[in-house]
Amino acid sequence: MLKWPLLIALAIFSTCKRNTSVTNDLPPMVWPKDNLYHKEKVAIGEKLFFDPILSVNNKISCSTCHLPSLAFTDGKKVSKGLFPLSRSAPSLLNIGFHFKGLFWDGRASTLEKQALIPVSSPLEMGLPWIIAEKRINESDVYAKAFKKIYGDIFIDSFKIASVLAQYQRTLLSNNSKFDAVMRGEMNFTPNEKRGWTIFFDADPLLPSAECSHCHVDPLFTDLSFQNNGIHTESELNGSSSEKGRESVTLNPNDRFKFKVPTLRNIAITAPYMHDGRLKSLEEVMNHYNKGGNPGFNVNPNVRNLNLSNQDISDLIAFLHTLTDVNMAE
Amino acid sequence: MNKLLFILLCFGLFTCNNEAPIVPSVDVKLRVIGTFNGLPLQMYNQNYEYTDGVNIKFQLFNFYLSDLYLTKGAGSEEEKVLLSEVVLINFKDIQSLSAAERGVEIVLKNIPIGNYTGFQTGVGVAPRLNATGPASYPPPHPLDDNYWSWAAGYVFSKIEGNADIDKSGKFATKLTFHSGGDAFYKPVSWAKPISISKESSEIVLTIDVKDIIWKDQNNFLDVRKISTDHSVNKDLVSFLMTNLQQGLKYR
Repeated sequence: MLKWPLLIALAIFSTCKRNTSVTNDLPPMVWPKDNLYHKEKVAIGEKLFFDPILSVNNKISCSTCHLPSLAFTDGKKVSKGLFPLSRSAPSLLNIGFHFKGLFWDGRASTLEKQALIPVSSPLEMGLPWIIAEKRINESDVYAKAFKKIYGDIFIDSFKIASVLAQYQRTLLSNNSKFDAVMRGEMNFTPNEKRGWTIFFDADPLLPSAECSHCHVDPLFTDLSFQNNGIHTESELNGSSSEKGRESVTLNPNDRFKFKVPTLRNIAITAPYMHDGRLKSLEEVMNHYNKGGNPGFNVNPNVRNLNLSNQDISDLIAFLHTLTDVNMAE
Repeated sequence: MNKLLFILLCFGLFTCNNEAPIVPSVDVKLRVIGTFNGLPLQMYNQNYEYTDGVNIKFQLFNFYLSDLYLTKGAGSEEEKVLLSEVVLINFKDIQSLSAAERGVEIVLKNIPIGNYTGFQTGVGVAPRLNATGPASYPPPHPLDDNYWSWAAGYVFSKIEGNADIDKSGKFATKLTFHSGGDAFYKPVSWAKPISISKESSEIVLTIDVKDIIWKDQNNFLDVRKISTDHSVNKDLVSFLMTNLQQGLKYR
């Protein structure tokens, strides 16, 4: 009974050319079943991302804090929407692969849920969703574009968030010098190669920087939440309003754990850490070289490294190979 | 290639009329309970007395199991039912006493009901899977993480934590032991009657972490002398992986 439909499906499959040229060596992108890739949704999402229409004062868009030229960060210590925030803007490159939680503390489980938050946040874009929906439905451009996809129905916050999520899933970065070297198209300089080796602890005769335990390639993040010893022990045991992942899980063992950020394009995303407290890659290296601050839940891979100035210089040379000029432009 | 596949499948469709009998199946729960010297294994929240007055707290303990099978019969008559190609037994979130007593739970879907004569698995990532990488697996998948690109293979087991070696209570010595490599992949099997039914669908394994790092007074991981290794010290990796395989018990 089921043979003929199956046979027809097989016939179609056998004559299709499958697209195998996507996202070189990046993991497979998993699109949500209720928000599968849709070219026109991506286009609306892109337009909305750069449009201040979703802010109360019509001056702030997603791209205010996520500039393409800075790998979708803003170059500031902490971001500023309507008011200053307490954390820096994370890069959005390859954000579609981040399935273990978004934001520094992982409080949004999907891009669709994440996109709902900044619009109505009083500190960020400050626009109640009921007004945002009204603006979009009354906009000729957006109403027409959404209608083309969804038909003649009310465009609610979830549809708006879904197109923003679609656009963000297309922000891919895998065309850096590092990628070219991995594909055999280019070679590292001797210093970059030495930095690569130290980064990955790949040669027992060279120092180990322990970076790649958390900054796992190809994403250069394992998407986990870690305390990297950036806060002092007194902060850790005190009553700071910043709690990191703990504010989501309510688990004290998650205090000051933050999502491991990607290192792709890291050379153009200063300042560093969740609160932008480190101004340069040299400061970052010095932090890790000293083993960070002590603390009961500091990741044990953050340890005294005894790296020389040359080791640090080579590591930074390697990190510069992670800049994807296509995205930086 | 696709056309050949099409022809072969068409042939199969029109020649195979004997429909296989439907065997009822259930979801089987694989439960792995961790201990340290007999005490329930909790991350962060428990000090464990190790040796010579050294205390340890753990932050992470995980390991892979590959090619998990239930077996029937023996020798050439042996039949195998695949439970899973690979699972990651991860104690990262086992942080309370109740969680420790429950252990790590993994649900293995649609396992045929029946009486089996044994259970077998490999400790680590089987070589054919170890030759792949995260790019092969849409997340979430056990093999989407714990990968060493520079070594083109997975980290079979991680033990991470802190040791108090100066008895200051500060646990200032950081411990990270990451083991991997095809040479250290170890198969293990247990011959015993296992009944999988709607009433009984659980496989319970136990592992005592002290058994992994301490064999006897002359053979143990001395964290006062070595606090980190990423499979550089092959003798140590062999020691840890062999002990992990031998320490894994079927309950």
